[in-house]
Amino acid sequence: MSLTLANTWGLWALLGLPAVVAIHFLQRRNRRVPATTLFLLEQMKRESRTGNRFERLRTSIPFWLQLLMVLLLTWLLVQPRWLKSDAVQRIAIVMNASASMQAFRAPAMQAAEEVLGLLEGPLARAELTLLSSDAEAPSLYHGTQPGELRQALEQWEPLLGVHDFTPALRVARGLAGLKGVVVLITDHPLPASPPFAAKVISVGQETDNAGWAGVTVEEKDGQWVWHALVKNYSRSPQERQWRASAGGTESPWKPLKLGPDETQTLSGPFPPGDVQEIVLQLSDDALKLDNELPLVRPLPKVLSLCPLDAAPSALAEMFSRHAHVRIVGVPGESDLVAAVMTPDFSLPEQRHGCFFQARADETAPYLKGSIVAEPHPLVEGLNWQGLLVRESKPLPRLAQDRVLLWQGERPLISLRQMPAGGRQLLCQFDLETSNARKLPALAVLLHRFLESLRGDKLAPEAANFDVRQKISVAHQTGPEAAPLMLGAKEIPLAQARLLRAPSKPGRFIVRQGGTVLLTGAAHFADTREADLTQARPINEIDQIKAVQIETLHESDPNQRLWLLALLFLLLGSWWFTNSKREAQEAARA
Amino acid sequence: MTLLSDATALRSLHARARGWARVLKLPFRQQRWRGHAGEFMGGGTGSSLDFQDHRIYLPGDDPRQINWQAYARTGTYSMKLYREEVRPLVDVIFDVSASMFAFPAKEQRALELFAFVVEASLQSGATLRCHAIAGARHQWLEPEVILSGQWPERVRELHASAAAPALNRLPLRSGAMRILISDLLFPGEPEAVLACLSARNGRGIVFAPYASDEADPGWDGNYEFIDPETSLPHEHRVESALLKRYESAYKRHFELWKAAALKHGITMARVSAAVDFQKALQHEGIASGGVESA
Repeated sequence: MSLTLANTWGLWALLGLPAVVAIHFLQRRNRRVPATTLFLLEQMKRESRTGNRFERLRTSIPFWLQLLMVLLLTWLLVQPRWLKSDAVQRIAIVMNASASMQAFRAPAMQAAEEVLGLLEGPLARAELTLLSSDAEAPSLYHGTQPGELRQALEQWEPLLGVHDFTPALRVARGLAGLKGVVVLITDHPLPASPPFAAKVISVGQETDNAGWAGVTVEEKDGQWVWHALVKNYSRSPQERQWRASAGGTESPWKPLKLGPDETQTLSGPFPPGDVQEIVLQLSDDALKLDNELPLVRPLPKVLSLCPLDAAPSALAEMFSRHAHVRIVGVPGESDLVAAVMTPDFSLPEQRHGCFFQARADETAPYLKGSIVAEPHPLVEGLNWQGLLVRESKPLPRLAQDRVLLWQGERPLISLRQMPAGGRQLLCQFDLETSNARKLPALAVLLHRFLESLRGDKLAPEAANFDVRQKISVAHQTGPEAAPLMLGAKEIPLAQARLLRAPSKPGRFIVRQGGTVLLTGAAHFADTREADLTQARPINEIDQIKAVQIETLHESDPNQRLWLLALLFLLLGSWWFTNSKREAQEAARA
Repeated sequence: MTLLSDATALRSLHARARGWARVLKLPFRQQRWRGHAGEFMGGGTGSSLDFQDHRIYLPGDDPRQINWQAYARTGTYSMKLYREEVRPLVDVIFDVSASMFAFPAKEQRALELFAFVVEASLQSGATLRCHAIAGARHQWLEPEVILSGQWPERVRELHASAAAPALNRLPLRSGAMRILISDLLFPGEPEAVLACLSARNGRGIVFAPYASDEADPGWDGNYEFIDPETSLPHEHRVESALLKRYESAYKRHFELWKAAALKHGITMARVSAAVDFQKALQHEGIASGGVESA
């Protein structure tokens, strides 16, 4: 039977023991009295000579009663509890999966160890759960053995950004039950008490950190140039070193001085030749995640566009201004076509395209009525109010048409999904008599349309991503299509839309069968996680103990009896003390 | 303010002592006295009404004492002698060492005894002579000074002495009643003191006031005993066994005094300070012969 003290502060009452002893010593100590018979004392007793500052302990009844009172009082104050015979200790530990926890991994594991130290009694009656606060991650451990939980803890790898702990705490509370202990081990104080009566142990401390905070890669004069942000998150100046490595060669370390909270931009070209990847490195500090910035030379998908016969040259010129669009002459080799819809023009069934109406009558009046855009990603946020379009005969509206823009009752722009697979943007105005070319909205619309087509194009691509960034990869579909492979990890086609960049910085490749679909580099650039200045320690282990004691232990059933005994001891001590005094006074009288 | 330093209280004490002296007397009647004419039977013949003896007339005798009736019967001149009446001599020796005034009750009882003895002596017409003594030093106190309550100032410098009172230095009168008021709490043999009281036909009486703080102190534990004579502290630890031995030693101390007093024919009465003075004196004094009822 395991005994636990619910209120260890009550042990201070044991100081009453020496106090009682001291009082019994001191109350007889060197009382000053006149003595007229000193010559008798001097004659008879050497043993009463001076030297004993404290008197030898006497076994008077009040003395022992008072000692017993102190012991009883201590017993009552410490609130002893015994582990219930049928108690099951349920502890659910939720480890904060934020990337900032990487800087405090060792203290976090120590905190988990401390929580495991609360286990009492036979371990067979313990139910232990180890969860990551990443609600999508499976539980790290569920069982009864602390040793196995410790091993599972080694697998814990915090890589997320800022996220909500509530789902994980909900799961933890469900597993631990209402009376179980749910502990969130994190690195910073929470703005409010965590839900589900979870207790918090924060192992963080304000720590200096500097790291890569983002990167852009742009093509300039035919050369790819990277611009990387490096930020000092701490309140004091920091000195670091950085270097770039590519194709097996590394540049020398270069010093980098950053003021408090300062951000600097470092730029450089991709090395010439066929080097496709570079890695920017910062010297080590508390958080290693943001000290490495892998990059790949971007390789965007190029869309080929073929203006059909009747298309004016202005149309081809308008599309050629969009990035990564190539004008080709053979419609069969193009990804999309662009054309002017003459009266005898028929829309191709299988091809993507962008079509405008033929030149309208210049004497025709401008269309009247308010211009209204439908809620659609292609036109979201665009301003069409300056669009002037002359009246003309609109195309017949089909069931598969989705009108994107109206003027009054007349559709101006529609998106048609052809049954054979072609996606066609139908602009029911001409470019010559309308002012559409002057509107930024049209350029943005076309850009969005081209991007949507580019996204669906099956072609190799290379790009840079944030860690865990959502990735959209065009791939083969159908029952015979092979699953996607992210590195060695197989992604079923049904989950392709959930594809994300890896959680750790590094290069990755997405394949389908033997075809490389995407070559990417994931880098950590979460400035909120990299900022360790808000990390503060909190330890609610005492509250956890109290909760555990409260739920797993039963209190002393004889508490009232002890209280009564205490009262009797008090009365007894008072009675014995008084009776002794009265006896002495009577004897003197 | 203690009683000893309050002259008014001392005078008031003497007023009460006069009342006690009307109830209890010093034992003058138990002895033949010599001295000036007075109220008590003297050792020789005198002019009192108490017939003493007959004897043959000798030339030079007062012819007024001739028993003419006897001459008529026998034809021989014979004298009729009467008892002499004298004033007894009382020498009061008051131990004024600090131990006598160590406890308030004991101080009260010592002063009451002194006042009683003085008043009883004066009421009986005795020739009173008082000595305050402490160790080797002593001071003669005139009755007027005593009655005025001013005597403590005269003896102030005598208090501090732990030695036995040196009675042999006192000019004690021959044939006087010698009354010693002392707690007898000093080291040394009783003989030296008691011999002085009984020397030269002296009638010795010892009144020894005592307090319960001495006889039954109830000590238990560590004490810092203050010697009243020297005011010096003495640290002692007293346990029950030691206390018992102390009480035994205390008792034996006074038994020695009583035995020595008996040997010298000296009356010794220990007067407790715990009860009323008159009751205490009746209880202790009458039984021992130190006082008698009026």
